[in-house]
Amino acid sequence: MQPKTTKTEELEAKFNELAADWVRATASHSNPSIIARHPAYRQIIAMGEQAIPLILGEMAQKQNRPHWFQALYDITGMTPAPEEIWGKVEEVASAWLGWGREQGYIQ
Amino acid sequence: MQLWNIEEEHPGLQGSGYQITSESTDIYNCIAWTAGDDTDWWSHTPGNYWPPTVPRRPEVWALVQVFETLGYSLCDSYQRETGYDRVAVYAQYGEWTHAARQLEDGQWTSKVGQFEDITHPSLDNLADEVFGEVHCIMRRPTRNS
Repeated sequence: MQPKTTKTEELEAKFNELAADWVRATASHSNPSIIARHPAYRQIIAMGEQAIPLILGEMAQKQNRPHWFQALYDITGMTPAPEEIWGKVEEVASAWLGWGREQGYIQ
Repeated sequence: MQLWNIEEEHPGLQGSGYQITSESTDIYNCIAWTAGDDTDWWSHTPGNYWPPTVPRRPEVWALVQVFETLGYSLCDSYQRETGYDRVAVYAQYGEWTHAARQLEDGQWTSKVGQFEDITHPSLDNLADEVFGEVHCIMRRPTRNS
């Protein structure tokens, strides 16, 4: 008998599939309004809070981070980065990762 | 992992003589690169740099205003003009998609999304289903450093 996959594993697999689709389809784009209309992105946002640790995990790969900032903003309705550092990708990513640790989404 | 092939994404580059001129990075994007900034990601949503006097909007007019804050104004000519820096703004369905900056030799330099910088001979090389069309050319007197 094959082991049952947990709901967490299923969610992660679904997220990875959607993220790969979305990143591949929007790789050239910079306009977040265009990027956010992709169906895979909409499904990631619909996952809501469950997607947050997975998105924060994606940020560790140092690819596509500004697009993930957008996803986190669309889920949470906020950004933890002060406006003075907006645009500084490393610093904004650090702010999100710090927020994620404070909120218990990641260790 | 190679997520894409630039020539598949932008078929106008095939056989054009374009060159990749940098490593891929998500530190800056096409708007920043065209503005002469390789340290920030420029776009209108929270978390990204956008000139404070310009509305944070996705429409192409907002990006035109971004370049106006840098001293550029609209012009008609697609030809290189001595004494001017020139940038091109691409748009599709009324929203900005891309920007490119002209080099001294007449070619254009573009940062393609989160990937590499390239030089390409013509603006037409990136006028396609992804970036749409060139919306406008803007220029400003060359600033001597």
